[in-house]
Amino acid sequence: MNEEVKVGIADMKLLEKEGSLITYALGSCIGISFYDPQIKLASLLHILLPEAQNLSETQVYKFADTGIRKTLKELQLKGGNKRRYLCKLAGGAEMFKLSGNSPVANIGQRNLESVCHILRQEGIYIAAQEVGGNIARTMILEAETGVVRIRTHGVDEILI
Amino acid sequence: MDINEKTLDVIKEVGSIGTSHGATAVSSLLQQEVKISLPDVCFLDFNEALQAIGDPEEEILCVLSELSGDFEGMMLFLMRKDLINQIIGPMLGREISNYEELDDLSLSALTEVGNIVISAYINALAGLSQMDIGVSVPAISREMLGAILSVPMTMLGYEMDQIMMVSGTFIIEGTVLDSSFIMVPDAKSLVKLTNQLVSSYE
Repeated sequence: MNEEVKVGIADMKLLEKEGSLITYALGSCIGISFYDPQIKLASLLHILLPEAQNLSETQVYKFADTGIRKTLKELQLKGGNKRRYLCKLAGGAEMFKLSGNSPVANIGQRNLESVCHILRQEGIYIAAQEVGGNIARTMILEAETGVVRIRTHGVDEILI
Repeated sequence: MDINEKTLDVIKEVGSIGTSHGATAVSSLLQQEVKISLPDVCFLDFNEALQAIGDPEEEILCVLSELSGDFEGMMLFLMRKDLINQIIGPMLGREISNYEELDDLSLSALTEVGNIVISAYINALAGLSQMDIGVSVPAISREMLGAILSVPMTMLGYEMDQIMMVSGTFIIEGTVLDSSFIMVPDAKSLVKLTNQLVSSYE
């Protein structure tokens, strides 16, 4: 079986042992994958914005802070051990050169800073990343191996 | 957010006036008959919107302007190869078969056409709604459709989980082209627009 599970915007999915998780066209959004190699537990999170502005937010996966914390909880429930996680990132790019007073200027960079900050707080080391620039990326995580594939226009697929 | 049938109708009507202004602007520029289909108005969850618009990995060219003043939001002009060739052919005598072939001159010509269409649309909208609307210098990107659409979603993301898109398709000399433009108001402006327009239509 080689199931491919789609992860939407502001979404997170888990997979164990086989199949793959895919999230399409990350621009300024960030794809954050966690993988526990010992039990082959994989998760892929797709966040849109750096941090939640109110605690009653229901769309927890939309934001880096609430999204990462919720994902770590879900992984733990499946037997994941934080010390073993391989974390990989893709995205955080800038699609348009917008003026500095635009509400979404540098949003990719701000997303990235927030993600790195939360991961550091959680004591999680980033194993690999393909971030920044002005290119869109599709990110695929294989549950069997923990390999992450990055698809972009104009260049060959990258394995990280 | 509560958007009823009637509001959608009014927005569609205004959209159609905006698009016809945009079409006239392109028409005089290209010296060809240009029409834009009756606009489609939809209000969808982010992921539904991505699904509705097509393949998220498809490479596309997009000119984007931010709207400010009494009305905040974004205008996106999505151009596929057929429309690009219709524009750069007569203007520059060029034709492309993939987006990488676009040189700086073609990109700046396309940005300018985008700017003209967007400005014509927004002028019509500003006149109808009696609002003062600023349009930013346009930015251009050739990238995956999904990543481009996520830009207005980041603008909306702190306030809503849905996106309203008013979109129209180009018809040049009777040929339907697979290019469109999309207006996305932010949450506050959507309310303002509906109040302003629906009350004046009553």
